[in-house]
Amino acid sequence: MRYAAPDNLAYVVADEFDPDDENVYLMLVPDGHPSILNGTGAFIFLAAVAGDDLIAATAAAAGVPADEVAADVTAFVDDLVQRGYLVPRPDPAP
Amino acid sequence: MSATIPVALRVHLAHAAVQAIAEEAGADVLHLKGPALDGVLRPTRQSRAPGATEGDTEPVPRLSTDVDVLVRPAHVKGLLHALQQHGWRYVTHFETGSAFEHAASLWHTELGYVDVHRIFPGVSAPPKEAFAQLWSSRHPVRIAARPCQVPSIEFQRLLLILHGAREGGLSNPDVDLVWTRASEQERTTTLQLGRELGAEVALAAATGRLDEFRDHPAHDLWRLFSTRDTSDRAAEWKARLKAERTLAGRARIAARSLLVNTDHLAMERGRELTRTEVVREYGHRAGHAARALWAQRPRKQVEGPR
Repeated sequence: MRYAAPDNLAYVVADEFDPDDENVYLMLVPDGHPSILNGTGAFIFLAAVAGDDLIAATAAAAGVPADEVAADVTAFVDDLVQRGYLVPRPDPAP
Repeated sequence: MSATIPVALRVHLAHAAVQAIAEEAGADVLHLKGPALDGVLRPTRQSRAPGATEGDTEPVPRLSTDVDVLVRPAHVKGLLHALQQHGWRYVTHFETGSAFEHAASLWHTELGYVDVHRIFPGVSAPPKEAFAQLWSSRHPVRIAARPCQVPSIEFQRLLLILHGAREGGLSNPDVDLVWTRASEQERTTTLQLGRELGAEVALAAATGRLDEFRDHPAHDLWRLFSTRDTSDRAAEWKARLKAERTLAGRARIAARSLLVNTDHLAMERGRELTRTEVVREYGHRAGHAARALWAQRPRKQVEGPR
């Protein structure tokens, strides 16, 4: 499954402005509450928006086998989808 | 997840929120300054991008504490209503925000301030026509990953200089960057666009040429602001009266000069004024006015010894 940011999501990748800030700041517009994703959460979100294979990317970044992170990544992504920060993106046609 | 966001980055989210509200209200808005300012109009620094080498540069991020948008005049009321529906509250109204009565300021508890401009100080072309010109030049940029419309780079340069006219003119760092260090072609274009928007006087104030407009009604007002000499309220009101072209406008300004600016006082004190405080302020104002008038009384000429 691949994901994308919905049209009503605003987000700022902080290290584009401050290299010491690795957070992603985001909110659903116009009436959501600003939130922060840090560390692994920010990584997973940005990988999702980039269309990456999230479990593979997270495992590679952590230097561990995919099955060690799969459950946590899946749970985290499900939470982001629940909050409206990600939407499932159909896989491209074969 | 918590919400403690640096103000300079929170403003990016605020731009996106205001844009979403504008779209919902059907309001045409142009985003100005801060994250909306094009990189070519900002100073540069050594690039911090991955793989950057010595000598690679990038624009310095523009740190801003509030959102500035210019709205199509016909859409101003609708946008203000929509903002209030979405939790934004007035801090100052057009009439109380500045000498140019150009913007209303609203506040959101999680997103900070937005300044909703109905005109841009220094632009004397009719607001509807001025906006149409700026709007026709627009292009989209992404702020907080959302598309927002901004004026062309050339118009952004002009507006930045006009803003600098109220903030020290040639000594303003923005004016130094985008005018003093601009190319001849860039200056020529800026002057041309200034003429198109009726901004010649303000442009002259920003660029050290206000003397060219010595006899212009708006000269005194721009002299006060470009030299930051706005401590004398009576002088400012006098300059505003002189700059106003219509009789009705002058009457309105004269009437307003008698009013206490409760919006600004509330901002200073962090709370609404009580009735007693408002009455007391009117008393102070009457006293100041009387002393100012007394100081300006005609003096009898005293002849020296023969």
